[in-house]
Amino acid sequence: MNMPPVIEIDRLTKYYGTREIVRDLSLKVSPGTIYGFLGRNGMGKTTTIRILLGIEDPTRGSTRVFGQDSQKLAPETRARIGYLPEGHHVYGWMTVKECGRFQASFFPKWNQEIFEAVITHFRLEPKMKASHLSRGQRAGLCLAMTLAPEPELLVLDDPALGLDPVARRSLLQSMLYVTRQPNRTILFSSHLLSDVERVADRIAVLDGGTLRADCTVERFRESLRHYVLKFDAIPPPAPALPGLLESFRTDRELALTFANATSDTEAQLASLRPAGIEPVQMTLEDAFVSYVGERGEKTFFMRDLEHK
Amino acid sequence: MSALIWKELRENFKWALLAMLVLGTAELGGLCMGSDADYFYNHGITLCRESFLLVTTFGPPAIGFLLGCLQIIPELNRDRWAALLHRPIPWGTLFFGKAIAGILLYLVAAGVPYLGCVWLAATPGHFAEPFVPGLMLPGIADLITGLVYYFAALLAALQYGRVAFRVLPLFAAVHLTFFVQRATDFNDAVWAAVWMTVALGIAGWGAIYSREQLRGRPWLSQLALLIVSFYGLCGLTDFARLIVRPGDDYSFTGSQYVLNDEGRPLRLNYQRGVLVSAQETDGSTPSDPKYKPDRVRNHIRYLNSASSYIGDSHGVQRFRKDSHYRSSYNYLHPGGSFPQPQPEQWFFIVEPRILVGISTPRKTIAAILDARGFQPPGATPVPFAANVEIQSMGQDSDLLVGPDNLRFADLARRTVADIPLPIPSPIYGVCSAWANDDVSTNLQITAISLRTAMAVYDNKDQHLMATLPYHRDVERWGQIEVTLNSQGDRFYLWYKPTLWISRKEREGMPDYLDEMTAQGEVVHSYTLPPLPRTPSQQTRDEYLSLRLQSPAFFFGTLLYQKVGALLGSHRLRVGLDARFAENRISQTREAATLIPIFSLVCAGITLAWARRAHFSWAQAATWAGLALALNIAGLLLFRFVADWPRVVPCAACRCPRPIERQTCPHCADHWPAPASNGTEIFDHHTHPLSS
Repeated sequence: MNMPPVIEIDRLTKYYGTREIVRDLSLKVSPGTIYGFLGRNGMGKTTTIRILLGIEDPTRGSTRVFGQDSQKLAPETRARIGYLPEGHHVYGWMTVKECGRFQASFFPKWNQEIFEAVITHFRLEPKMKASHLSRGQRAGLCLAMTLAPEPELLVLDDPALGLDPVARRSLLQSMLYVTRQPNRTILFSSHLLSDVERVADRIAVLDGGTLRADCTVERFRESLRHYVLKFDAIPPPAPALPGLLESFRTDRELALTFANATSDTEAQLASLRPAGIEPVQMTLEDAFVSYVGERGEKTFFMRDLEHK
Repeated sequence: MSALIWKELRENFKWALLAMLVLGTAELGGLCMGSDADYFYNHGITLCRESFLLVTTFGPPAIGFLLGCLQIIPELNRDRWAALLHRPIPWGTLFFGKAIAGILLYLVAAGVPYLGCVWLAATPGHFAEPFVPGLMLPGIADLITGLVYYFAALLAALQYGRVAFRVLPLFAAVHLTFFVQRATDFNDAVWAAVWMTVALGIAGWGAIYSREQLRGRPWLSQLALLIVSFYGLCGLTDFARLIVRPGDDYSFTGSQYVLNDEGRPLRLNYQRGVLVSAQETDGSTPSDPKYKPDRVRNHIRYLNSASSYIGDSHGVQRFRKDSHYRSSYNYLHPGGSFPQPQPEQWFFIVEPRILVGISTPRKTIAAILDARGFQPPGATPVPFAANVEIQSMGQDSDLLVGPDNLRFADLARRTVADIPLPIPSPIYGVCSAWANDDVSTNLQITAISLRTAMAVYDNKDQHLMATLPYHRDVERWGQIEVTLNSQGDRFYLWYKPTLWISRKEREGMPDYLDEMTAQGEVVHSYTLPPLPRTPSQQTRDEYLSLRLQSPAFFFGTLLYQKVGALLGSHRLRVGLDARFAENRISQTREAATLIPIFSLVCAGITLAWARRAHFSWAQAATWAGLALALNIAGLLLFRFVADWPRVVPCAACRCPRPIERQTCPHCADHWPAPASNGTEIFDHHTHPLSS
């Protein structure tokens, strides 16, 4: 059965003043999907999430969650969405238990067992004051508060920001708990590609406020190719080929990264007459850095150092 | 909502407690400051004491403002605010949850200290002054004003993006403070404060839906914000005037008659508040150098008004009271008190109409004087009739002035005795008078206005000094002022046109001055022709503010006064008369002509400006309509409060195009899709990237 998407974003554009932050963004998230929302800082991820939740209004375009216009989300719909904003803010003067009780008072469906399970997982005592918690513990507390209402859609805005690897792992494990439930949808933005790789089914990449990729993780990784061309002399400048993301030229090598490389691309690389062409397997992190990093040619020549 | 209220209370209770302690200390200081030295009660009584009201004027607003800021600003961290808004309750509930908690905290911080002061003032043994509930009214008005500041702070803190959004709510509260301080009637002050609180509350409720712009807020909240912003502009004007012209600018230009110490009338001529010359009534300059402009004020006898009419009252009250609700004289005033501390201080309580004597050392009630005579403390008083007035007649003595009889109360001896009138007659007025030309004589009299004569009693032993028959038509010249010389053998009666005669007619009538002996013979008589009225001079800011005021308010007030006067309201008739008085009528006419013209100009500018800035026709017309109704204020509101379309150059025609609109208003081009560069990775979806 074809289920309606949980999230629909249609030609969303957002300006701050006259600065365009998000441009013509369209995206659909199906139920049960774990969506990684990627992009460098300031590319519009948080803004998109806030518009999605009705906290900010779009300049143009529209967003819908559970079929409801984000700008008119009813409290009942909001109760179906768990939202963990970045920064993990809790009221410092409350204890862990009070935080839970305060949050529980707003949600008709509150699973105290989940709350307790998550805080136990993060080794939190109910009487601990929120202001005395470490960053990781605070993240755990926020996650417990987000997961306990058993949301159908979980929106996490860079949940692992500033956490050490252990806390990150704990957070991830807790988050995976939700994915075990059928038809639970997660949209999370992150910089940490290893986390994305571990849990996400699909990714969306924002670059300069524009959606540049919307695909499965595998498809993304496969679509990016890295070639190292070896030369006996100084390599020629990188040719202007379609899909070229970046090139790196040294005394004897020319490294090129492509998106959507085809057999034509390889044929054109061969026309440069290198001594050898070596395709290199990329990790998701490398692929992502190449994809959203600085475009164009970079060089590094030893002779430049010698001249200095 | 209860969880939210609990959270707000727990979060800010410590601050409320701190504010309560600080305000309590300040109010206590204000209440006790100088209370034992102000024997004339010139600075007010207990809860109406100036030093106390100074604290209540500034304290509760400061607390309200700080509480409002404390409740919002720490929450405004981008993500904390987002988490708060995402909670599954209506945003309105969120706002009102905060507001209810804030009001409770405010009541703790500002209400509890005030109640403490009320308890202190109302409990015998603390102050040698009686307590009546009316004394609480100024403090209550200030407490409600503090709530206005609380909601102004909530609104200002919630809104962002434009300076006006933050500044105007605060200046609306400042304007309200000016109004509360100037209003004569408590109800006017409180209703204004309540309405402003409601407007700010509704505007604040809307601001939680859309913090940056008008769009996205409920229409009621948009309207409330416009009202608040309008009053914010008024507050800004008040504030600017206070800076430009901090003191009262007495700029009277014209002439007035005075009585010199030789018993002759003089004409004093003023230019912009400065006395420039003194003249005899025949126009000559007085030969005696003591009447030169720099010295003449030291050689003037001052007259007190004994009546405002004689005969038919035409609806004018016999004893007119124009007291201000912030003045303790509105509720009680000293009777028979003198500068030195007395064993007893007597006060006339306005409601119920009784006299109360307070034992100064014990600070408790010593005796009561009511309609039955002197009563012990604790007795249930029987108030004097409404037509009985109390007139102090010297140390420990009061005159009880009935409609046609006089009674003398000796407060020290606790006796009340009738004083016979020289002729049977209704009493039209009473006043004290004294010879101010020789301070050593200490001669003081009480003058009683009767139907055909003025009875003059010596304050020392209450004997009838003189019966002065009127020699004028007192039906029309019934406003009579009186004084005497230091020997007590010359009395001066100054007849002015009766108060019920219209102002316009009065301005054409002369005054009369009669110098009389104690036997009632006229020694000298003067007719003082009406003085030419100089149109009142306006300062530049007065001139501007009159012509730039809202036509809706100008004509609305005029209509209100006209209808009120037709329905018999004296207050509104006086206001209307003042607008059409001889020296004001040209200004009123000019304003009635120029205000609509200025409004039309402002509306035209607004319309043109709005269209140029890519407002839709409907929006531009709405703002122009507002400018037409509010004059320059409407134009300023358009400039600072409207959601101005943001524009960027169109990619096709390079003309500025509003970012909110789908098509360019110049070339009708749609927004181009982001350009494709071949690096996009999409699988099953269709994406609008252009190749």
